[in-house]
Amino acid sequence: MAFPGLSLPGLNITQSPPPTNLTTTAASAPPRTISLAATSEFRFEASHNSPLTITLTSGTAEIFGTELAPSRRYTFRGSKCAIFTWEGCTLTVEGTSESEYTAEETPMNVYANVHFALERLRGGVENARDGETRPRVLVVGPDDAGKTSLVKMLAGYAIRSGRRPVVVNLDQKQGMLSVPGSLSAMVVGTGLGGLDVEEVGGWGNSPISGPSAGVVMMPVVYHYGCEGVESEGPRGEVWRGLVTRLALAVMSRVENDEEVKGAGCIIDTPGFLGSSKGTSYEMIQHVVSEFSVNVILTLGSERLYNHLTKRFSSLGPYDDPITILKLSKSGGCVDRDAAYLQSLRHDQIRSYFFGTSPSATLSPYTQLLDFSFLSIYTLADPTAATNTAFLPGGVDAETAGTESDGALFVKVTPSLRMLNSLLAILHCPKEADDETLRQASVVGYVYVSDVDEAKSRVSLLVPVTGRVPERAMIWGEWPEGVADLVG
Amino acid sequence: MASHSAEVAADFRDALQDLKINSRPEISNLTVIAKENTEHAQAISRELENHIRLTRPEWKLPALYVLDSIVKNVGTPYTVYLGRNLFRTFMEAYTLVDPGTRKAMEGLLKTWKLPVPESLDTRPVFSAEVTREIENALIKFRTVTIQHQQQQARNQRQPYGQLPARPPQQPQYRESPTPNPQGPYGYPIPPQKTTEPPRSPVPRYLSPAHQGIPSASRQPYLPPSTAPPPDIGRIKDTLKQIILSATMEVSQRPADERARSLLTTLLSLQKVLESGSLAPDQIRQVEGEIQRISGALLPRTSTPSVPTHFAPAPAPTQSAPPVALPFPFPPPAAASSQRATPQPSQPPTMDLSQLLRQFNPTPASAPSQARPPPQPANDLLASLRAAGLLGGGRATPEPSAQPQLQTAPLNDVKLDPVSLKISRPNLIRLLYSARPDQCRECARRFPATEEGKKRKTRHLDWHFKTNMRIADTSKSVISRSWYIDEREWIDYRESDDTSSDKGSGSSKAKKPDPKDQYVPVPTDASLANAHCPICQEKFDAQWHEETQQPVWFDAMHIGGRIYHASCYAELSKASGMGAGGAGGRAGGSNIAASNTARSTPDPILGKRKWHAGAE
Ligand SMILES: Nc1ncnc2c1ncn2[C@@H]1O[C@H](COP(=O)(O)OP(=O)(O)OP(=O)(O)O)[C@@H](O)[C@H]1O
Ligand SMILES: [Mg+2]
Ligand SMILES: [Zn+2]
Ligand SMILES: [Zn+2]
Repeated sequence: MAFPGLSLPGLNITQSPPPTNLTTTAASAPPRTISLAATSEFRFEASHNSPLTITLTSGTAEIFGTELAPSRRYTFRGSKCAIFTWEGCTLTVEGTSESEYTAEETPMNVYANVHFALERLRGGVENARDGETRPRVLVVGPDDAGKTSLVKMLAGYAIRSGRRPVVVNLDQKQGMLSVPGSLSAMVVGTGLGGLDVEEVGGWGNSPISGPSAGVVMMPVVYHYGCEGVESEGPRGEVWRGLVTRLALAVMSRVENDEEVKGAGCIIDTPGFLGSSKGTSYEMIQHVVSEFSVNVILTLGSERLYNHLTKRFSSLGPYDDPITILKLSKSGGCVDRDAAYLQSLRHDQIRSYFFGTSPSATLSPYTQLLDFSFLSIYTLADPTAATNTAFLPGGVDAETAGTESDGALFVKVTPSLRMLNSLLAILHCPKEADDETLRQASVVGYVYVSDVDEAKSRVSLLVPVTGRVPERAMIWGEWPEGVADLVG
Repeated sequence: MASHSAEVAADFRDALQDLKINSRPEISNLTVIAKENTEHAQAISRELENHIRLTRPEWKLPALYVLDSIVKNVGTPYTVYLGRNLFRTFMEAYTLVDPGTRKAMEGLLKTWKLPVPESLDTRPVFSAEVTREIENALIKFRTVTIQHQQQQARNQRQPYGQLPARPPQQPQYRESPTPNPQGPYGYPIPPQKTTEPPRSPVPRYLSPAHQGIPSASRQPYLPPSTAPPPDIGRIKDTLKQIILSATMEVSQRPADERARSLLTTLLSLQKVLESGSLAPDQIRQVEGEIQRISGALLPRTSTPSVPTHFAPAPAPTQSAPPVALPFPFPPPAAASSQRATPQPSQPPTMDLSQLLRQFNPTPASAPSQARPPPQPANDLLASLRAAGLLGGGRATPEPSAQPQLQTAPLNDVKLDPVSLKISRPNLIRLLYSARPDQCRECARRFPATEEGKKRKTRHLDWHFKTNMRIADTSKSVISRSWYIDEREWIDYRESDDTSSDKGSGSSKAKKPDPKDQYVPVPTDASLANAHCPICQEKFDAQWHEETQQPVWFDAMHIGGRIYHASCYAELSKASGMGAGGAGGRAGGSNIAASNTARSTPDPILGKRKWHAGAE
């Protein structure tokens, strides 16, 4: 019998798919059913190590404004959140949580009403022309008051109302579609039901080089790279500059994008702005003027509310009236300790490079580069190198300035001090002046996995294949290095 | 040789044409032809593949059994030839056949992963690569199928089995003792069941006084076997919500008599429901009425429609399209179509007056088939009163009650502390049941309008295609993209390609799938290693059967360079407005490629830039 098949052409180039990972997470605890009455919520903390899987089996439910798809298994890892139901629902919960309970008392009614009130400001087509009325909402409040959660809710409800607002993250401590240390903005509502509640951070993903079934949004990112925010000193200068720059980008976008125009923007802020300490009010004022904020939502601080009401009642330079509201903090808000916040940061950095399984597994590359290839700048702050703790208003701008001939940024040679830290690649040439450096948006981040000072070579973890962009880089003092990112 | 090959192929084709049932002798005969002509294996294999592709869905399974028989009884070289296109052969057929056949096909696939029984060869019938690829696709496929089914189930409450019936075809022919795929018929799709909210037990049946009414016989539209028992808990909940909104109405317009009387009516209805004296069918009718009233209370532009999750009986205004699964292969003409009995164009729900007439000592002898236009408030009120079920609230409703109720819930929320405290369930419903048609993958909701239905279909297609692409690219390396520049971001426009008809919609459906486009692998060594300028990935070489050469699929020439056709399609789809989904990638690769990204743009990007600059 002839076997012509043995010499078939092209056989050696047939593709063989890699083994698929169909492993489902084994639930350690038996599945349990949670019945939620209307307008109550199930609060839980899922640990980093063992995921919690939750399925909506009947009724309707939402997580921070994003509705859950019925019968879909949602997996949570290292997140603390609440599943709220307006109409009542049943959930099946698998896995062991660090804590879980049901709460009847929530501020959701008010939060949702805020959305509907904003919807009125967004108005119909006729209102969309009227730039003055669209809501530009600022959310302020002390640490862990639920600011980010409220911003997610307002974004989620807006998406579900067919809107596409711009969401702005001014909280450098937690990235949005990016790593900690960054500020960013994005248009939400790109086709899916809401935000990605399973992702680290609970927003979604910035674009990847392949198809994604999850929520993908296109951010514009700026690098701040310090732990604390302040109004004065070099950091203050950088921070204020970035806020101005980001506001400019957002305003230009809102002006020119018909889809976004009527929806306005929603701005999340770091807890410091709501702390009623030091220069925090000046910083709020800066944000308010740069973004022409017309609605301020204060969360969980009477003092903050009172102060802002006073400050903005006599409007002065602001023609647009500003509505200031006091909202109560959700009882579900969890005070997150330093260790948890750190692990959250590391998750965020890891997911920037490696993605979050199973929705996306990404492959970064390691590249060995000569010192001479890199052009790295860092903030010329004498306190920055040694002191990463935040000093409210404590930096003397003049001292900081004289140390480096008044320059804001200084160029540095790669050194072992950079080991395990992030470098931000900027959209600007290698040789750039202060003005350019403090205004450029971010191309992406690389991670310094090794520095060979003897051979003058750095090993970088790069998210994208191909050459590392020949651009200026910023080495920030924050976030702290992640020792176990590679290997 | 070639002509002989054609002859053999023609013989084989003729024999195949006659194969319409699972006939063991015929399949044996075809297997023998294949066995005696292994030198024409390639032609025979292609005949068989074509036949499977082109024959009517109900005749595909017997043909697949021929394939099965040949690979198991003859083996090489058929396994090689047929294995090469097995994914396509299998998946194309799979999408078009009924659930029973699918089940049988799954059974076949299972046996292909094993060695031929009683054979000395321990290798599986088809290589693991081949079968695994199919299995991956099946997983994705099921995800989407289930969604479609659930949507259909919601819309029309038809059991899945009402797709065109096919003659039962027991897969009897099999030399191998591998377990026959059992039950090719009525393949149950379990998730459909699990997604239904658990029904509470059937409420107490007729009270003695009403037992004489053969209520079931009055409702020919309710196939008793398919209609689930009404979920009285859910109905009550809905009613409670409507009562809440009605209460709101009354509190906001205390002088409005109509709102007040509606409220009274609703409260009476609640009492009747609470009494537990209704038969399931009657409960269903009450439910129908409640839906109609809630429909009137909800914002709605035109057609009265039904919030999905508590709608057991009504059919959609138009019978739903066939499963119409988006599959990236050209659909043969003989696609399965729905030949089931046409659906009535109106929800065949009786109105409450009829229901309540049944409470009268002299019930109407036969329910009228003609349906009055929905007049919830008045009808309900009148009939309740007629039935003596209505207590107080003597106020006579005016006939003009309806228009007022049909306006969208008034969004009167102001940014002040008092206004923000008021509970507004009717507004919350804007986020839920006002758009009752929900995607079960991402929870996005669509209004129950024709347009909403279209958008949802496109949206589900998007999910499906994305899932298929993910399955396709599971072997390629994916990485984070660079962020775009501030300027690019300002000019960037997100397009909802998950549901808009721009680009990914109907017009594009006629175009060839970019994945089917190919270019021959360049002979020039430098070009042979080319990357797609958009995603920076290499191309996958594959053997192209028709032209007998190695090609890059999903590829096309543009201005002297080779692009992934799908990357290019994605980019150009969005570039009318902005960079689209590929913008980040493009921006990033651009930067990586040169020192001055802006001055040496990629051709496509240059065009987009030019667009932006020209404004
Ligand atoms: N209702 C709730 N139930 C359970 N957990 C909640 C609830 N609301 C918020 N949380 C959790 O509490 C934590 C703090 O909330 P959130 O991040 O919204 O506060 P924040 O004000 O933005 O904090 P930060 O000042 O650190 O930015 C988060 O982990 C959040 O997921
Ligand atoms: Mg926050
Ligand atoms: Zn969806
Ligand atoms: Zn490509």
